[in-house]
Amino acid sequence: MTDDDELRRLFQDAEPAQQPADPDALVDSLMARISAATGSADAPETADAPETADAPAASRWRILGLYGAGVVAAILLAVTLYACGAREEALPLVSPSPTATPSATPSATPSPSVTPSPSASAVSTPTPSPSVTSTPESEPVPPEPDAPAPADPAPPDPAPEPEPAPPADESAPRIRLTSTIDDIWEVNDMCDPQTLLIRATIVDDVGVTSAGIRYVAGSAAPAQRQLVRGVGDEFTATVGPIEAGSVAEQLQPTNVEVELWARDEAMNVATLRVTVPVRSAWACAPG
Amino acid sequence: MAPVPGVRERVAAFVAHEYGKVVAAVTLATRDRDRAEDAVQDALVAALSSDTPPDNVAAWVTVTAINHVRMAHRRSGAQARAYAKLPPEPEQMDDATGQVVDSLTVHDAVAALPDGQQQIVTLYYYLDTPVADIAQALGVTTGTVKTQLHRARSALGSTLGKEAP
Repeated sequence: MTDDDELRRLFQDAEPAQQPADPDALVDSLMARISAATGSADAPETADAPETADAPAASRWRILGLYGAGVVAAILLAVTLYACGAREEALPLVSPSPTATPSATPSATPSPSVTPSPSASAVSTPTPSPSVTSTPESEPVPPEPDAPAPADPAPPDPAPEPEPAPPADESAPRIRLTSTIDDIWEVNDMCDPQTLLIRATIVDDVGVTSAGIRYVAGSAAPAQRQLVRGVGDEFTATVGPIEAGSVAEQLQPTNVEVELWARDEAMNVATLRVTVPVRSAWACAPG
Repeated sequence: MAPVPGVRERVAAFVAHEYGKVVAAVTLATRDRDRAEDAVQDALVAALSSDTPPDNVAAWVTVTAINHVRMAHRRSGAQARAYAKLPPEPEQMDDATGQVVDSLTVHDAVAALPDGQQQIVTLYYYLDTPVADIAQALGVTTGTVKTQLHRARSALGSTLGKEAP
């Protein structure tokens, strides 16, 4: 039974392969999706010839294409300048500049219009977009904006106030993310970073008593960390390291929601959610 | 749209020669044919849209599709956990011949394996993927694949071996 051929037979008997009913339609549908995914008609060409032996040829063609476009644009610019110059020369007849002959000088500089279009460059910046969602849970619209407290008779340092009940603190702390969110990798030997420092400012009318983060990265056990107070109202905590195999083994990162929370003395709690893209260690391919 | 012939040919070749087997392999590992088919198509689109498509598309698509289906299961409920905890059925096959192990038992035996081993045995036994390609698709060493394959083979042997002649 443990014979490999027998196992192969069992596997293939258990789940016989079925060909698609309409292969041509399936191919068309997949091609349409590939074209849509690559965003342009010629994009699949790049996907078809990546880091393999024909990659240099593909990039050579791409460079030639760019040069070609540049030359065409330069010629157009030269012709336009020449036409303008000729018109100027023909019109005034007053003081024709002797140096106004539009020779080949304009075409010597490649036109800036051949650089990638602004729309393409805008699209090609895959910013992770932290998607911050703040939900102060028991915040009933603060009655007045934060006064800078010059006339406040209370001491300026509100932290160590063990008084039992501050009169009417009904506003939750306010959390604001101050660090950028970048992709992190699951634990592996080669790809970094594997942790992310979350930095946030947390302010409260009376005082923040505790704060932390919590998240669940794929199949890993839920994690929670304390947000440690730094200078002033700044707090920091670290996301990761995340055990390899926790998120899906795929090239694209898996979004992990990290919740920041803060509590004040009156037990008002505020939360803020950020999305941290986590890359599978499996995607960190050697070579 | 003006599809580049190279990509279209790869897609057509995959559909003609590998699609059915890959869908079946993902179904074997996940027991969810509907999701398997969608996941295989999604993974194929992702693979061929990438700047660096994998060398062994079938292996990559299989691994990715299995993961997608599993994630869908995890999202939709405890189905995956139930599969993972499913004990191997001890004495299910008692038929007279003892020659045939029905497909349900094979599915159960595969489902009882750890996730990584499910992928490896599916690739190795169902798709005849070489160990080196499995290692590349999973991002592990060939030694790891061989070790996991050995363990999986032992587990399958003890689960299915009872029905052996």
